[in-house]
Amino acid sequence: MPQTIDATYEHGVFVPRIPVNLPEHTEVKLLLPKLTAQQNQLTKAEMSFLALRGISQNLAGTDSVETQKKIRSEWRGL
Amino acid sequence: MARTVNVCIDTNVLLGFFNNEPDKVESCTAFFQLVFTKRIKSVIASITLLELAAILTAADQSAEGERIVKSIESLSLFSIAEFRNGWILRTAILKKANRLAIADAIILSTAIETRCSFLITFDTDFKSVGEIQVVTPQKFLELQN
Repeated sequence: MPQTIDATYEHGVFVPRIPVNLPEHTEVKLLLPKLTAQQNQLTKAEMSFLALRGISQNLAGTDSVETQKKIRSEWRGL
Repeated sequence: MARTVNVCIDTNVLLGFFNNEPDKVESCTAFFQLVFTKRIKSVIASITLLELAAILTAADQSAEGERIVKSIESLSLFSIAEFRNGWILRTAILKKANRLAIADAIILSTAIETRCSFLITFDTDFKSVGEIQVVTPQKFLELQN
């Protein structure tokens, strides 16, 4: 019969709260909690996205709306 | 039942964020943080990715453009919407009725067809159409708080 134990997720590893008697490399199934917005936890991809703020800084001095209008002006006349 | 809030993000919002534009970057950052923490589904038209890549490539920043596109593609909350044949006639009508550039009409049509509640843009050429509210990131933050 399957056994249910509690574990904590730390630094990318699940750490059991009680000792487990399993052979090395035994595969187990994990039931993960559903994260809610209130927990304000961002995914790695979301944090990576936010870290890209200012990546194109040497376009500084340009205005994004004007840049957008300029590139879209190439479509005008259609 | 309340309608789920989905947003369509225009190119200039992403560009203002990536370009660290003083008058836009703070509201863009707060907007993206709100999107992530409130798990708001966001639509990005494929033409927006093309515009970002083209603008950065033209400025000899194709590597940065590639990082941006890959980052956007990796976000589970962001859906990249390709323009569909079934949207052509409505887009043409939107273009004429709102006197939009064809790319602007594609963005607005994408927002409507993907059932977004908001189009997020700094471009004042856009006006709210039907159920779509056209707002700046700052205005969206005010509406959500």
